Amino acid sequence: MLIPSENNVRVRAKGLSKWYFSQRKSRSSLQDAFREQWNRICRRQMGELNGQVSKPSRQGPLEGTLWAVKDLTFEIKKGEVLGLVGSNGAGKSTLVRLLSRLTDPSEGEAWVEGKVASVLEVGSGFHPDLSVRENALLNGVFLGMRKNEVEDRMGEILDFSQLKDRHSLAVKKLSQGMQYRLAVSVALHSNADFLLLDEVLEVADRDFELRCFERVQKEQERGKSFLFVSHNISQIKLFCSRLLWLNEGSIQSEGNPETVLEAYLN
Amino acid sequence: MVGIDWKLLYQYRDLLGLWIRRDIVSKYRQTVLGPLWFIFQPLVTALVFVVIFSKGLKLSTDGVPAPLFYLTGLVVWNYVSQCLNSTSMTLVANSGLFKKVFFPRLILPFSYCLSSLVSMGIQSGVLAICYFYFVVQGADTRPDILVLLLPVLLVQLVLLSFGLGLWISALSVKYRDFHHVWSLIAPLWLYATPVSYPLSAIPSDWQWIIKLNPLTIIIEGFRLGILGVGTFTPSDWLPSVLFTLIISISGTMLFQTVERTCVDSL
Repeated sequence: MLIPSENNVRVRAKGLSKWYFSQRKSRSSLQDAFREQWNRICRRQMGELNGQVSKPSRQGPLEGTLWAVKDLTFEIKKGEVLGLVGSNGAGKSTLVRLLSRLTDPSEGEAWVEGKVASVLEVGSGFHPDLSVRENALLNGVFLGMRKNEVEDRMGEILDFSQLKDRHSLAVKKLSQGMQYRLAVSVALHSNADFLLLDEVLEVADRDFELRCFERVQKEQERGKSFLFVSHNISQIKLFCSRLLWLNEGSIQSEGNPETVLEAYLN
Repeated sequence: MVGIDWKLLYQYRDLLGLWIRRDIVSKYRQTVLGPLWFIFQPLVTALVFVVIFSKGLKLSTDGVPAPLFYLTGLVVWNYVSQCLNSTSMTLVANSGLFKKVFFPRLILPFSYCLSSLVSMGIQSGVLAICYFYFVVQGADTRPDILVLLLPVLLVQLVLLSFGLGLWISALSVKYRDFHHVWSLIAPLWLYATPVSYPLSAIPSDWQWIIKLNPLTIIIEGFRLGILGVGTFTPSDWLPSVLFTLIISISGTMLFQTVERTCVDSL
């Protein structure tokens, strides 16, 4: 396992890679599926014995593989907002999905101290017929909270999204903007130690954006870390304490937001 | 065991109840009759069975009032059918959610199996009312001591539906047509199960074919327990229990494997 060298590190990625097969691999059979699952069980037990985290990679990259991200090594400190910029297809979303545990890396590993929550799409899992309150509850549980933890914060969540007077209304009766505010506000009130936001604040109005910023700052002071993906330059300048520029799956440059942005925009 | 991350499942235990609620609401909030559908569906089917099989074809119902006989079988069959319909679509229907939100996937199919128990409970209420009516009318029908085994049979029923649902769900990710295969098999399976006839109506030389169906002995067990008529022997039950265990464990393993990789391919 990757142990942080200093205890102020929240996230550490080492040689993180993900590749996809551009051509369709020979159709995998049920037999393969069972063999793979069996191997996973064996590997996990071995890993426990040796005190190691198993490496997910099965085989090396073959001919015709596409690297979505390649050999990423970086750290995110506690209380840091790391911004992620790059053109379309640079691997931003793949990195977010790897760190969110939605997909296994082909190579390398990532280590996060504490709980991880991610918002890749606003309102994932919302049900139009359930009320604002019920949807907030469901959403919070999806983000890894216990039901009573969400209930404890329900007042704050409804205040933050300015939906207090509509809390028993079905979500389908809300405007798009209100649904959006609800989802973001649940995410910003989650108890995760590391929160990933993938182009989530893109459509926020100025007022809501500033409130989000205040909230993020408050959470930063408590040691919470963020990964912030955005195409909105002014938001990046506002939120991020450090910037990572991905280009064709690799780190192009990393550091102070102004310096990286200047290079990225040219 | 079988590659399940029990710790993670435990962390997300609140999701089970919330998803059950969401499932029930999503089925009935836009309908006029709501949960009354739970009641009409078996009553109408039982009525059709009475007309065709009992009055028309003069098939035996082992001396039990025909509506009562059919209703008992239908309550069990409806559970399997409803459960498989929703469980088998887990991966395909929720692919959007699976791509965007991290949570232990097994919770979804399991919550479908539990939410189907709610409708089974309501239908059992209908059965109880009919039972009472026919006993008052003077029918000589009474439960058997096997009624004590019903909780065990119910657990087996849930596990069997869960396992089969996971199999169909996992297979339909790779082969989309599998869902159509299921909708073809379902009605055939109903006729291969002693719902509209008792097992005793089958010539004893041919009974082994029907007994290959793991559901046969469960339904016979339910009817013997509740109505006091049926063919239930431990030697017939054991293979069915074994099959249930194998199908639910292998289904879980297969689902776990497919769930990890389907995010990349759906």
